[in-house]
Amino acid sequence: MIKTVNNTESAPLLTVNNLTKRFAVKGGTLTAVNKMSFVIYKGETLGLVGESGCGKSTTGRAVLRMYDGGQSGQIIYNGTDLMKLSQKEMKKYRKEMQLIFQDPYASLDGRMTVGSIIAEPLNIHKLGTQQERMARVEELLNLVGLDSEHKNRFPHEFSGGQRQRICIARALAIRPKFVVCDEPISSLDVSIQAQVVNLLKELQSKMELTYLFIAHDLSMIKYISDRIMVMYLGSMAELASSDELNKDPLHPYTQALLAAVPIPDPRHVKSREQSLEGEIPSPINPPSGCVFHTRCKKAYAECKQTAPEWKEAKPGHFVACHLYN
Amino acid sequence: MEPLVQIKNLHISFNTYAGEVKAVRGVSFDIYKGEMLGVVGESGCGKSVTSNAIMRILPTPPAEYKQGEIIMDGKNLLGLSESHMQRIRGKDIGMIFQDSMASLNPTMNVGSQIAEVIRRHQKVSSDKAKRQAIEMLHLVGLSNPEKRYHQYPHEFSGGMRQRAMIAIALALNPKLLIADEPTTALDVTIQDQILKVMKTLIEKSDASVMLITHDLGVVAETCRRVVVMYAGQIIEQGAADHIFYNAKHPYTKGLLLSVPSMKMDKTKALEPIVGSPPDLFSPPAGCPFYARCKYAMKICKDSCPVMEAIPENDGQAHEASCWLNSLNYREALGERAVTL
Repeated sequence: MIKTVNNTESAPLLTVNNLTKRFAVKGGTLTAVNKMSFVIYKGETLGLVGESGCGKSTTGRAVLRMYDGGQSGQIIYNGTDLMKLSQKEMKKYRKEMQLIFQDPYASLDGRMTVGSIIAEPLNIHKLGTQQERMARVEELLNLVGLDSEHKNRFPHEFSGGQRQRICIARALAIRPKFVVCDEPISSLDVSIQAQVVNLLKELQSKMELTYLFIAHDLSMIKYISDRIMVMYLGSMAELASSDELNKDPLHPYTQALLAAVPIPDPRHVKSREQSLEGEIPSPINPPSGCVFHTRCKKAYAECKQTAPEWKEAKPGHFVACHLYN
Repeated sequence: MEPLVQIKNLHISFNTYAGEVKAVRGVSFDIYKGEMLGVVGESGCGKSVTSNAIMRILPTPPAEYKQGEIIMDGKNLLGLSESHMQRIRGKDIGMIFQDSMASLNPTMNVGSQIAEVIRRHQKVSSDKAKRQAIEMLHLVGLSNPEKRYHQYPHEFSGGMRQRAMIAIALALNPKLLIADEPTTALDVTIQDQILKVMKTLIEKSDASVMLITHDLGVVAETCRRVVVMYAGQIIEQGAADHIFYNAKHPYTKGLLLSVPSMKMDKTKALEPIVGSPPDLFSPPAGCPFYARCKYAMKICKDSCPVMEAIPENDGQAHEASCWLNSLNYREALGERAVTL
């Protein structure tokens, strides 16, 4: 169940270039995702972290082309630019991409049995006969650690952790290759979180899945991800392998984010130097230059004027910050 | 240390159509003067029911205080009249809830909600109450408090609303502040700020804090003493050092192992606690953790262990309820001591 992906050797599954997503809102345009470019390699877990409102979920959804418009850039999946496809043509690719949501209470239809919830993607994509679908449902329930008898029950009969298992079974029903996990564990209890994370890791190696794992829990994302991307106000701040990012965070925002994580050790003395003041500014009217300069303790004149470039500060370690010019 | 609040053998049930939910089953602990006490446990373990009972804000029915006492200043809070309780709430005990949007009045500006608490308990002019409210907004770290006073909760971000809640809860310098998952809905960076504000204000005022959370990191960072609850009971309590370095109950150990530490080796699988907590409609006769415990023995199924002191070098109290540590059980085994 433990996987070792050497990213340099693995081929990219998904290449995102200049992805931008704008929403028309009262009082202007909200640029939720601003010119993001990144690669997700086959079989890896790319973690995506940032404060709420920074555009993590929008990125996850935009990558799956879940929005109708307002989106520009390129999303190259296995050689095809998904942005050029019509919604009808997209359907073929949707079979290979799935999403697991944060709230397992809101994302399951309370009036459907668990069996029909898990069978729904199979029905939509017309996979197999009725009998095969039912057999697949039972297989999936076992796969995620539930009982095949559970297919006749309704979501309200299950606990939060079990519901998240049902959501995972549904997402995996059509054997996807790429799964966006949008904070799948943040609404669960600590003891249950570990169960679900272990399950996700186990399934990844069994089914050769690639994950985009969105979370705000840094310790959990460090544990599950091969590489981590840090976002701030719609832009990419830093991207590096999980160990590297934790050992040597370069961007002042990443440093502050890591310093804010409470450590479960009463003898740990927290350094207060890096703690972050203030809150994330409104993306409708983002700050000039580097979007982080309003909260950055190391900001200088240039940060207010020009946006920093995205560059490779160390091999495989990318950062957008003027300090590393 | 002198106890400010003593909770003695508290039993609370909810009467529902499906039957009686025994949410709190014999909880006893003290909150000392000036301390920050952490209460941890999973959802449904009775942490919030216990704290809401101290504040006496459980709706009765369906809730029912079956047994026990909550002693504060020599009075049993469970025996007081509602009007007497109203004089205590806000003045002697302040409370912060998790969901700040649902706890603030959306139709009232934030400042008036702070002034309301002050005017309710003190005979002051509305002008003075307003000045005090603005001062509170300033103390909790909101910029431009005069302007913020007139704003409504929807104009505040989650972190700002939580600051406003702290301002309301601490406006009258209560002796006890109950914070029920105050930072759960917030980002780590904002959580850090809120905990800092809470800590500074508490240090100034000498109040005691009961911090309810499921985040062991938050507890380690803020609390000196920790109570661990499971299925409506306290299964372990002691100084934070005892709980994090010398946990005796398998559930506490399991909780500590379920969170990946920042230094943890990624190739190792996490060690989750298997299964889920018992149904409190019919709690098990034995140890409530029996079904999920790796170390469960025969005795655990049939009889429930009691709290027993665990010897510690630092002289601070540490106790746990587990047969593995039980001296009685060791005696019964005839010195074939079982240790974890």
